[in-house]
Amino acid sequence: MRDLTFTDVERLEAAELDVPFEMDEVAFRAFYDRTARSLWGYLAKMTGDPQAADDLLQESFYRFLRTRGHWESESHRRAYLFRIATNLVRDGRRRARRGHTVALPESDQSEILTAAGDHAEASVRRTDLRRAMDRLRPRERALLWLAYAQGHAHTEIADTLGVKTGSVKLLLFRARRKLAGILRAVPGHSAGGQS
Amino acid sequence: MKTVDCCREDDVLDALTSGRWPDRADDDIKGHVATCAICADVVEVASAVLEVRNDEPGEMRIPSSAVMWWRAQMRARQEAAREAARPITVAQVVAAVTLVAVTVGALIALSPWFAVVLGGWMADVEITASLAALGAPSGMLTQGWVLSAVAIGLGVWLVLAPVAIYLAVADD
Repeated sequence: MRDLTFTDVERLEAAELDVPFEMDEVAFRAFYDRTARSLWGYLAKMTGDPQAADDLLQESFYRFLRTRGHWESESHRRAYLFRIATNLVRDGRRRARRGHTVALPESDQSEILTAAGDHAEASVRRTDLRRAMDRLRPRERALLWLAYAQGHAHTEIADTLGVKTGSVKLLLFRARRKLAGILRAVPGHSAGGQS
Repeated sequence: MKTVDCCREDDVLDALTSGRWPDRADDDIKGHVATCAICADVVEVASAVLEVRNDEPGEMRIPSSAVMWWRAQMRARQEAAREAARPITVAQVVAAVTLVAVTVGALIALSPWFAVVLGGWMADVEITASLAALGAPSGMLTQGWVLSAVAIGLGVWLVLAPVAIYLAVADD
């Protein structure tokens, strides 16, 4: 495809091209400030790669802005944003499987243990936790993250992941069971901070 | 039927997220968690997830909302400009492909090899007789190769044009 020339942009700017965003700047910035951190955390957990999370964060918000939709509530709007992000992660994973792009790693991206002394133990524990979470399927990881790290309601999780609200309870139960089993099998693991 | 949730899950989660678990949690909740497998799993998993989450902010590189808005505006403008320029691109591609098709058709029609091959073919299928039977003017009968050349040019155009247009307007 041919590249855009400066003349093209100039011509269209001269014609006062209107950029069609449904949301105005003030509303967008407020929404972004409320959701960007949690979305980044979700993307980082789902991809296992902070760099990929950076890119997907921008892409998610851009696609959200380009959408012409009316949301009933803040949680509905947020669920829609997370759904866009979930689909982007899924697409990235599919492309990676086909070998067209650099793979989004499934695990062990952040295993840099630089801490020493008292911090070393905490770092090892966090690494164990990450490894345990990385052993889950993407959907299981997403469910647990949305439910416990983000505190999303079941309806919001259902909207985000495209599953029935009634199924969330059961899926969450299974994912929780699985992760709890993995965590309990880690040597020296203390249950839920109870030591 | 297997029980997949517990009515006290929210209380347990509240104790976890508010930082009361385990030291400042009510004895009632602690006692419940000790006997309820579902809530024990909730404690195990939610505390792990929260620990991982609280470890993430150090890695965050989130652009400000102003930067994000500006980038979105720029990108939308570029996409709109590209969209607006698309008909021009398509017209340029169609013109180029037409030129190629006409050139190919003319070159083939003018080549002596083509005249020989076409002459043999027309004799084989008795196309001249068929055209005469349909009442075609005699000029057309003798200039049948022109029609064939046009058909070849058209064929080339039909094959090349969609591919060229697709390549010209495809996003990736």
